[in-house]
Amino acid sequence: MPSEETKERITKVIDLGRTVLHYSWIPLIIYVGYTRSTPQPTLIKLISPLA
Amino acid sequence: MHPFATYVLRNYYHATGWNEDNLYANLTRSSNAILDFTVPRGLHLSISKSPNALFNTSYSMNAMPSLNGSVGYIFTSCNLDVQSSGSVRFKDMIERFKVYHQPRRPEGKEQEFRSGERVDTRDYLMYGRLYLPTGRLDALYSARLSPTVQALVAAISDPRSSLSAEKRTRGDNVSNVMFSLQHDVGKWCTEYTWSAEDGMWGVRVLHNFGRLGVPVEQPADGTADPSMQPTRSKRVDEEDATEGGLKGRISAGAEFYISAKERSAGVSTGIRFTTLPDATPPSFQIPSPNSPSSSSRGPPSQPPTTITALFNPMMGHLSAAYAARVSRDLSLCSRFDFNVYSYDSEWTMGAEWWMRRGAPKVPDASDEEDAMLDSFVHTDTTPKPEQIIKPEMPAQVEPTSQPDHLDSTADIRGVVKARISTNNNVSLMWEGRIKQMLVSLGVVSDLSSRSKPIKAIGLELSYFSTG
Repeated sequence: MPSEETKERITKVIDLGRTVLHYSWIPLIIYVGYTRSTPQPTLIKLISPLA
Repeated sequence: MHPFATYVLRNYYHATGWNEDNLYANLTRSSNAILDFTVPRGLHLSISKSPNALFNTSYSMNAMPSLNGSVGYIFTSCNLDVQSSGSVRFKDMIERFKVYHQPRRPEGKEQEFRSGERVDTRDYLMYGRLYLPTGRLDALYSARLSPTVQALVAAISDPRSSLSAEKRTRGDNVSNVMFSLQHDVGKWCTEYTWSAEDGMWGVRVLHNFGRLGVPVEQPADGTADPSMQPTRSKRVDEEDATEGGLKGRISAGAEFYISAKERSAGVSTGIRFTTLPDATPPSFQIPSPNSPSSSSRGPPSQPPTTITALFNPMMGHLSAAYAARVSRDLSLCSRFDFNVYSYDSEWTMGAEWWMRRGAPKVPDASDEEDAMLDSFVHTDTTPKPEQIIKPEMPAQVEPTSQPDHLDSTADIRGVVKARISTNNNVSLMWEGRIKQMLVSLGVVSDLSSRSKPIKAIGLELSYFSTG
């Protein structure tokens, strides 16, 4: 059985991971889309449908 | 109307040959399309664009109950044939009554080898949508692990709910992540899910009775016309086959879920009978919309019909639905819900009516043909086992059938859906295309309330383009 301290640490790590994923998920999609597309479109074309 | 992201997701499933209809969760899809349509509330605007075949961007805005918006991005590893809102096949954008084809074992994409090494990668899809001003994020990752296995990770992350611990204890925490593994072999489809928030494990199983759909063997000599087949001579004592009754196939499924954290469990079972789509002639026999012979094609031999029954023994809930296309443009559905413990019941009736522009040029450009074409797209893309490397790519096959799709449904102006239920709710919705935009207009009214007869009214405008 893990101690209270370990439990707290695990919770903190999970929360941190969730925050990182929350803010990096969409930039990641745009990055993958930008690098995998051939020919590479301009970045603004990927970000905005109005461009 | 499907949101743009759903349209792209379905397009992705189609491109990768995944059959999303062969899931227990979609057992009642045909009747739900007529009875459980979502009426827009307030004003919705969405503008989407696919700058290339791999990437799609979507902005949307809701106004009138409150102003909010969202930005969504989708990346797929395979090229998708995403159309613009002016040219997309209208029926592809609508959740509609449809008789689904016999399930087939999904085929993976052909292996690609370059200098002796396998270079093809597994297909995947990444989707993210950020809501403003709340900052909530919806994320989806789907990967095809093998030809018959697909993994899905879906997450909702709300930064506000993680801040306040008291909200979490109240159960307001909407943040969740769900893992799902789907295994489809055609005859069987199993799905395993795990939801992190409530620690819920779930298993869903669907079994299709009868034989599997097999790719149509196309005769090489081109003598597939039934009238040219040699007819078997009848024996003296042979009786004619008794006509009547519906010919179809049966699927049965069950779902079981359990959560140790919440100390709860549930089970649900379901069965579905659906008629077989009419026998599909080889693709070269599908009448082209402009050929005069197309008008001589008779009506379908039986009305496309789907009957479903669901039973949840723990909650005592019973639901039975009957849906059928009674004419080319009209589908009707009736559903009865009953609870064996509380005797609560509800009866819902609905209709779906396709409106066409003037006198149609093609009298029978109905779903059977669409379904046929769909199936041929599917059949043609199915690689034969003996072929390891297939010369034609699916992307090259599809455009040949695309013009048929467009022509056969080009006269569709819109669809009207209506439903009425014994709880006095009446919903009415029209969906159509105006210029290059897809429009959906709906109203929900409560007949029993004199003070507030209209419960909700809404308008949805959707525009998407390519390039």
